[in-house]
Amino acid sequence: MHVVLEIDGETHDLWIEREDERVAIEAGDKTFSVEARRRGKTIEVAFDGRTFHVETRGPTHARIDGHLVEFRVVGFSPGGGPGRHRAGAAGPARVRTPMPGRVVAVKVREGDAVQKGQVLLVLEAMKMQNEVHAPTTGRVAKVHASEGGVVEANAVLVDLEG
Amino acid sequence: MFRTLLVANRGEIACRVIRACRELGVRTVAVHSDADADALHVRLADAAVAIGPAPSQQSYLRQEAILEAAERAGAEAVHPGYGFLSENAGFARAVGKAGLVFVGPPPEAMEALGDKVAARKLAVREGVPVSAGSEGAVKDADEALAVARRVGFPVMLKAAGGGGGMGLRVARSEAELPRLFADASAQALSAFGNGAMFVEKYLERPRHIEVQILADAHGHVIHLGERECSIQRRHQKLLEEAPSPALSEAMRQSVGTMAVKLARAGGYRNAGTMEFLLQDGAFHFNEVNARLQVEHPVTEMVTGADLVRWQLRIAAGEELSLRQEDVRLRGHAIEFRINAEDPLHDFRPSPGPVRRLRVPDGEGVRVDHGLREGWTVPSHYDSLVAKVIVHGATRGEALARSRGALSHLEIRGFPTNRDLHLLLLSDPAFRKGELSTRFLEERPVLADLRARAAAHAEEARRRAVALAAALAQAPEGGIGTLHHRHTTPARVPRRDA
Repeated sequence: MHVVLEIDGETHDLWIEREDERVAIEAGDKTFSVEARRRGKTIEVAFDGRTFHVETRGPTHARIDGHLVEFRVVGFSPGGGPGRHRAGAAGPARVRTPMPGRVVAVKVREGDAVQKGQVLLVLEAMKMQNEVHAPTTGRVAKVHASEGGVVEANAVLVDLEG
Repeated sequence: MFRTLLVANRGEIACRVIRACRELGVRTVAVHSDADADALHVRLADAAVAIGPAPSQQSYLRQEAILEAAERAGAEAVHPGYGFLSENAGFARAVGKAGLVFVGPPPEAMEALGDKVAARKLAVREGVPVSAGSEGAVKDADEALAVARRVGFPVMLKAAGGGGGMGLRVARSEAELPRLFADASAQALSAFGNGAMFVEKYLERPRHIEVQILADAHGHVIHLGERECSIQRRHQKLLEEAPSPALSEAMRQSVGTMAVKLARAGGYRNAGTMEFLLQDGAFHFNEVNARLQVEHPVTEMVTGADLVRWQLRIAAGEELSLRQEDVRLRGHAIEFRINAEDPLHDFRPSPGPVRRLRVPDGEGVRVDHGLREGWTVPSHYDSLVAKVIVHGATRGEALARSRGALSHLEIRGFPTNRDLHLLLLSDPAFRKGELSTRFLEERPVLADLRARAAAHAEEARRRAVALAAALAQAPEGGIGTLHHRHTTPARVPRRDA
């Protein structure tokens, strides 16, 4: 399954496969082999030589090693698992805003071939300009921003095809 | 004293001016853009007038809209704060023409001292030392090259009308000078409408020392000691202190006297700042800031003088009853600028919603800010959102208090540079007062911050894995059930086949 978990305002993308007490969880660039055992109200989660004590408190709060955290499951889908989700994934790479602000220049058009590192757009916020670069070499499939427009944080600016 | 004053600014400085007005019994009128309709300064003022859409050019820089608001609200005076129209001689003149008082220097003094070339010429005439360089503006890159050959590389190419690091280039060789000259001149022309350039010998590791002055309309000019503002990023100040750990009493008197001399020669009035660079024990006049400055509170903390109150009293025609011999420095003060910016990504701006705000207080701690929980910091203006100012009997006590105050400060909802300040406090060179404008380039503070952030991210990832594993122990579909309890729509990117 695929779970997007928000803990204390930070978002984590997790790919999970569970087989009883053994759980494989891919987070970022690493897959963790985890053992989870229930001990009364607490669940002991052991991996990489360390044991976390987790106690859930309703659907939005948990104690992790005694510290109360607030969480939300903001995304869920039952399919996929560690290492399997990229198979066949060929969708466009989405270039997002590094900061909210105003689009002062759009340097590419749909259909343009771009090199990795090439400037796609220039954003301005708080009197500072920031260039947005192509993360990969590819072709511009779609431009979602226009000059003079205002964009929110993390909004999609450009779709790139490999 | 005025009955009603319009504050032609926003954010923390508008709140600061409103506070001073309240203490003097002056009614305040705030102006605001659409993005600031719900801002703190609007709530604090006695009246508020909307002056246009979010972009500064259509609101805070619209002179006629501000003058109209002043007239409508019955204001007798206008305080420009810093930035925006504060150093615009044309605006100061327009305020006067409308029969209102501009709280700041007369437009003639602003022109004489605000233009960097004019100020440099004045300094030379008054015998105040300047860096070696061109006498006035140079006419082209060839002339700049001739000056550079005479004073020796590296040289600083500076725009006469520049500011905030714009129109500024360091040329290290003859080969690169023409290109850099053209760049800087073009940038200055587009940003300030003035492409005139001059050349100065570049000082490699200077300290930035500035002197606060007050001048009234009755011929009194005094200085209130110096501030050191050497800790900078992108040529913009990050932290300021008073007094400077580098100055002896004799040096303080010497630079203070130079500042007063310049203010007199330029016909200055109201509060102003004379900037100097200090290297190898020698001062070099840099420029004049013809306005109240962001870092004015450190001077207030060590002198006990309320600079904004003095600005208002001087503007109202009162005599400066504070005399040079009355100015005594007490203890040490440090100001930390809290910016909505991400130091780990080249200090890029990070405006966002204020989800939680906790402001420190206690002995010797002052926080000037314009924040409110539930309000969103707009992306259209400066990234400065708060200033933590700390006073102690000694620099050591101020540093210790600063750690407490900064640790207590909590702003959630967007990244800030708070943790960078906390690491600066631990840096041995900083603790010893060994500062220069190259400090952040030379010291490992940013690298430490990066390492800490990486460790924090790794710990957060492991906690997420632990929680997910625990949640997965619930009966099949447990996590999915939790997800469906939330009203927010699924945001799972469709990456799987």
